[in-house]
Amino acid sequence: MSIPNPSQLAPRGVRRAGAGPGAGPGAGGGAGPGAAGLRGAVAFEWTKLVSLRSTWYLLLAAAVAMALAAPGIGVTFHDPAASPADPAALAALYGVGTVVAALAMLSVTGEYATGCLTTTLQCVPDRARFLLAKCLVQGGVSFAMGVALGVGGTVAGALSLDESTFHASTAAGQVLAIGAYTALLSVLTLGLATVVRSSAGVLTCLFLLLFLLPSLLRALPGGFPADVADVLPQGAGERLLAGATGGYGPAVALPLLAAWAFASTALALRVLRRRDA
Amino acid sequence: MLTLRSLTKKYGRSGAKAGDGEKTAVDDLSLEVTPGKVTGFLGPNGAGKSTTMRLIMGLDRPTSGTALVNGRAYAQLPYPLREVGALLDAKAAHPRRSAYHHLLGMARSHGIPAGRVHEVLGIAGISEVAGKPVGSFSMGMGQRLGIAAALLGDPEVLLLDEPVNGLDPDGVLWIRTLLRSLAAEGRTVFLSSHLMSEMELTADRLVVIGRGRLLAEAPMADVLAGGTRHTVRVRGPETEELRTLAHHIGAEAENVRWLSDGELEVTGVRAGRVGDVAHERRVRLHELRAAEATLEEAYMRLTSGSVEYADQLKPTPTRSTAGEYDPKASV
Repeated sequence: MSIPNPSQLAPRGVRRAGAGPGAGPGAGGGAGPGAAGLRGAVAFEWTKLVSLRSTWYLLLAAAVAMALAAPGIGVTFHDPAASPADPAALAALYGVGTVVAALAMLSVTGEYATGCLTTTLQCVPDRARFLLAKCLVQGGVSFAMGVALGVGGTVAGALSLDESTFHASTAAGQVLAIGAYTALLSVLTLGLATVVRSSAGVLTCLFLLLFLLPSLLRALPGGFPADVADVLPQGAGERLLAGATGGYGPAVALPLLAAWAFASTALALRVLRRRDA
Repeated sequence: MLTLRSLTKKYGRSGAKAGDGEKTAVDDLSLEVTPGKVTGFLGPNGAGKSTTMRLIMGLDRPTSGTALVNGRAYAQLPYPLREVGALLDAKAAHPRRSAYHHLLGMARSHGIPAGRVHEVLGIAGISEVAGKPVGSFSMGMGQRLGIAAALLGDPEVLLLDEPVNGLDPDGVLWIRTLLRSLAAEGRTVFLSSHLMSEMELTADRLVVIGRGRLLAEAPMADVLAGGTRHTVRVRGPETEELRTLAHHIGAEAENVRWLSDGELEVTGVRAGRVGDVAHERRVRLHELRAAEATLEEAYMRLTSGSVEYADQLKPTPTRSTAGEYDPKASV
């Protein structure tokens, strides 16, 4: 609690003192090798993510959910052709993926709820860079987590299957697909969270979009509502992860899911640029 | 250097029907905040101080006009923290993140080395609590963290919204010394406060706004001098006699006001003249004193009429009552 010595204030020996009116436009900007820009924004997001204990709790919760869900789903299988990664894929699709996506949600809603966003936008005022950095970090973490959950879930699932056929390439593809699905779902959630801002609102929207809306559409008469349900994110996820057929296959499902994630992020950027923080 | 040009911020339905729930928070504000000085930003609650600062920081979008930092919009600054350090909201941090990690994240966004984080923690005097979550901080510690964050990039411009809020006297003195030394180094220091006494001690220049409009922009000394309107307090034992005095002095005074049955406040006349008139009219006085002009009075006069929440802020010169205005005098 001491009164600072003014000399302490400019310890890096950069431009200073008597700067006066001469410190015109751009003084300090561009100077030095600082890693602002996107790299800095990503490092910032990463630091924020790993310095919260809730991050680790949530990842642990996702692991526990997978550890419970994959064998739980596995025991219902009685198909000799089943891949040991099938239960993990279904678990990711119907719940575990959203647990991972909750991390992306909290990275945005947490900032709005705590006022931390003011600090973030001071450091990264460019809204596109801010959003891109969040997408890269959350997407990357979710992909890695999805792959890890896929591997763990495959092991847990294999133990619970009474009969299965293991093809390394099939299983590896499924594990990567789980990673891709959780990553894209996270990015979609991140965009949604930026628009909605509150956790309760995001969870409601996600539940509607992923679970309620497809069920409602499929319950309607006629083929058209069901077709719409097929191209919703969850419909694409089913084709990517659950071997659902009809309309299109995994090769279309992945870009379709990516398009959903992109649309959500584009909307988020539009809203961010127009709205007061 | 901060440059505001016709900065305007309206909330509510813009465009559609003017006046329909629309509120102008900042109204055509133009001003320059120059380096090497502490510029105080004063105004009653709701005058638009915080909104102006948020507009400068690119957090809110102006309805029209521009706010430039060193000639550029905030969002256009390549390394904003190295040019502007801001304390807008002391608790602009996640409550469960440690103070150290809060600052470390900010530093990483600009490639500022971690050593600088330790330095600013030291300058702010919160090194010992750096590992604790921000949510456990007292108001004063939160303010110190905000100051540390503002200093992180060693910026040329400092923007501080109510920095002394919640600080103990020790902390207030610390901030005052810090801001003065920062300005002495040639930096631009812009701070808002509603504590006029604090401003009187810290600021070189004053910018006063009310209802989003610029009311005054002048060196502190000028504002204080402008506030030197002769105000004289008169106390006497007989209300009737005081009434006579009020009647006769009223012709030459700007204003005569009853503070209580036995006390008058006369404005626009020197104390000597009031004494002379009292003597001529044989009015007995128990007290006759010239009230000193303070920044508070200068400010009150500037902002009267532009007070947003008039009911809550009674002590404006025209509508104050005795007890609130000067409790000591009405004993």
